[in-house]
Order: sequence, then C-alpha cells, then structure tokens
Amino acid sequence: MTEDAYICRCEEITGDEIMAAIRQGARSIDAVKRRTSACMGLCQGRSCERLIVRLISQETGLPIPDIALMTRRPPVRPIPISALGGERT
Amino acid sequence: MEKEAEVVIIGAGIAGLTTAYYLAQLGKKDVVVLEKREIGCMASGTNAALVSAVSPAYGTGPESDSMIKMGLFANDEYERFHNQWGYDLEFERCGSLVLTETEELFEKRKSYVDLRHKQGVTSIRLIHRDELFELEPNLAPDLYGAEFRPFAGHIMVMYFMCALGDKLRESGIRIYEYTPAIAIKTEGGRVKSVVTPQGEIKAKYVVNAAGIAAPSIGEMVGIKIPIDPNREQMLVTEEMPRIISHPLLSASYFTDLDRTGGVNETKAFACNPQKKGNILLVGVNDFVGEDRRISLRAFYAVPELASRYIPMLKTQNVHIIRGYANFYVHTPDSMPIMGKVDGLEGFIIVGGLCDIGMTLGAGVGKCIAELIYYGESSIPIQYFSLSRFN
Repeated sequence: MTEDAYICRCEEITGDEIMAAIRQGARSIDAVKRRTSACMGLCQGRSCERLIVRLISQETGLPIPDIALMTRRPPVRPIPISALGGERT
Repeated sequence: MEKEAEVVIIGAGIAGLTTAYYLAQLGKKDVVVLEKREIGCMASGTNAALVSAVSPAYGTGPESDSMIKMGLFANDEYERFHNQWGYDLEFERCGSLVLTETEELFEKRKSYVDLRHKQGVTSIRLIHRDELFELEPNLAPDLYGAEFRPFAGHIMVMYFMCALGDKLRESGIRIYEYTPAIAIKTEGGRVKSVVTPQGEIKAKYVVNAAGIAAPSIGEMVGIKIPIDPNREQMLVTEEMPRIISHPLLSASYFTDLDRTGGVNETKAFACNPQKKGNILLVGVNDFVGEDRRISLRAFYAVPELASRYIPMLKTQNVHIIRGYANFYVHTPDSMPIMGKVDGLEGFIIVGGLCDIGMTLGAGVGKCIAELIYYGESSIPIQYFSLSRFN
C-alpha cells in the first residue's frame, strides 16, 4: 500500500490520514471515524472498514477480533428522499 | 493509575473536558478524567453541531444573561481553537436563521429580539423575505421571514472532541478511557475517592460530568439528579453542491417547544449544512429511555419536514446516506445543572445541557473551572443549582 492511496474512497481519506489517527490513539473503527470521517460517506464503511481494522491491527499489534467494528447506521444503501417522506403536506 | 488527584472528572464529553481544559489554563493540572467508553462518543460527539452563541432556548429570565455570556465566550473560543490548534475543526461563523413561517410567528419574535438587544446582543435582527431569499434562495417561497443571528456558527463536533482530548493530554491532564466510575466514597460530609475497576483515586473534588449517566453517578452518593435522555434523530444527505449555506431552525421549534416535555416531536426542524456538502437534517425528538437507535418513523417524518423548508431536497431527489440518533441531556426546566451540591463538600455537578450543550460548551467548562479554582465563577451560575428542584 502506498501511504497516499485512498483507504476510504467515498470521503477521500488516505492511508496516511488513517495511520495518523491510529498514532493519535484511535483503537476502534469509531475512533478512527471520529478523527477522519472515514466510513461516513456514500458506502458507510462497507469498503474501507476491513482495511482500517487491518491497519489498526498492524500498527498496534491488537488481534483483529479485539478491534471494535463501527456502529451500524441505517439505511444500508443510500435512499432517494422521494422514497421516504419527501411529500409536501 | 495514580492513587490521588486534586480533581477527578467523571465523563469525557464537552462539560468534563472543557472543565479540565480551563483548569489547566488556570495552572491546575492535577486532574484526572474518567470516561466509561471513548472521548465524545455520546451527545458531545454526535449532536447537530450548531454553536449558536445566543439561543432562543435560553429563555427570557435573568439566567439568560449568564447563558448569553457563556455562549458568546464559547464561540470566540471555538474560533480560537480552530485557528490556533493546528486541527481543521471546520468551525465557521456562518450565521444562522430561525425561519418564521407566518407573519404571526414573525411578529411574535419581535419582543424576543428586543430583549436580546437590551441584553447587549445588538446584531441579532429580524429580516423580511427579500433579504431572507437573498441569503438563502432555495428556501420554500411561502416563508414569511426570519431571525438572523450573524454571530452563530457550526463546528465538526467529533473532530473537536478528539482535538480537545489531545490538547488536554499534551498539557499533562490524564484521561482514562474505558474506565468507568463504579463507586464514590465519602467521609464526614465530603468526597473522599472515586473507585474504578483499575483502582481507587483519592480526590478533593469530584466533578459529575457524565451526561445522561449523571443520575447514576449521583445515586452513588445518594443525590437525585433529574435528568432524562431526550432522543434527537438525524438524517444525513449525500454530498452535493451547496443548496443552503446557513444552519436553519424552524420558529415552531421554539414556539411549540414545551420546555417541560422536551422538544416538540413533529414540528421541530433544524438542519446544518456541512463543509463537505452533506446536510444534516434534524427532527423528531422523543423520550424512549436509553434506546439510541433511530426509529423507522424518523425516516419518513424528517424528510417530510425538511422538504417543507427546502423543497429542492425533494425536487432534486437527494439521497439519504445515514440516519442516527443522539441524546439531549434533558432537565425538567430545560436549563443546565451546574455547581456545588449542598451537603456534600467537593462534589460538583455540570450537566443537563439539553439542546444547547455545544452552544454553551466552553463557557460551562470555564465557569466550573473557576468555581473550583477561585470558589466562584465570573459568570453567575446560581440559577443552575441542583437545589432549584427541591
């Protein structure tokens, strides 16, 4: 991996930025998210969450199962507002 | 973990961390912060991120003078942190708008604006529709006017909480995450120590800044604290070119606000445009205990409410990418609880910041730090004493 490669493509967060967050003390996906906004874009972490877990594990030596995954937030995929309650009343 | 500290703060949210920050600024660094989970993982890191400085939620009594002082101080501090800390906190003094749907609501706000002028907040003003649509051309055309608050702003709260934690650690304050307080020992009418799974810390002062967990910390010393979690539900749109540029609140957010029952659940609309181009849509507050999931109803009600004010959300068929809930730390009169507690020396409460936690934030921390350091705060906080509920 090159350090300037995007890990979170939706929010355009690079490997460098993720590593900086881990060095500042982030030990969970939510903690990385709070510092970088990784996992908060269109795909909501579906592509980058596992990469970030591996980076945390590599940098800290924590076993992968011990690293807390992120809080799941609905909707799982982006939903157009007209499918929800966008009608004028 | 150390065996002793002058001040032990329970809770690493906005109240606890800013208290620690201003204690450090005053030179008091023998401070330990205990956090049950992670810094800013509850209300402080997941709220709507509005820092209004002067909020209609301050009410009109003498306590509103103190809240104005805290709020204005807080915004100046957020701006300073943003410019000086070397972190992009996305703070922006963008101004905010309280939208008045009808002439009647517009007229009702006049006495409120007059009062704020008398209190020294002279830049707040009512604007008619021409000026409103100049500021925000994409709002619903039937809106009558707005109250414009040019000093208001917003900040990326999760970045801010992390940065605040980093700054505290750099200054020598110790913050222990995943370290809950499980008991508080007292002796002869004063606090003696805080017990954690990692050990016991003797303390001269114990600050209960535990947010929605403040009542359970109070119970440890037999003090009843009337705080309830008020669930606020939020949806986030996809990134897009800016269609609005100010945080918006509906006037009905405040006029329908039943200050004893929390925020009106169906009419209270707020939104906050983010730097990246997402818009945070806020609505549907309710009391459901400690259930922090978003309800299915919010997925329908919030877009409906939002597109009443911003029709383009509907006409452009904007996508919702994320929904989540946050807790306001609600008190029976919607005012903060701050200060010492009668009958237990050394025990200090700071919490119940309701829907104005970030807005008051740094001001609250400064007051509590001064209370500990000088014995009193430079801004009067007697209105916020726990004893008012007795």
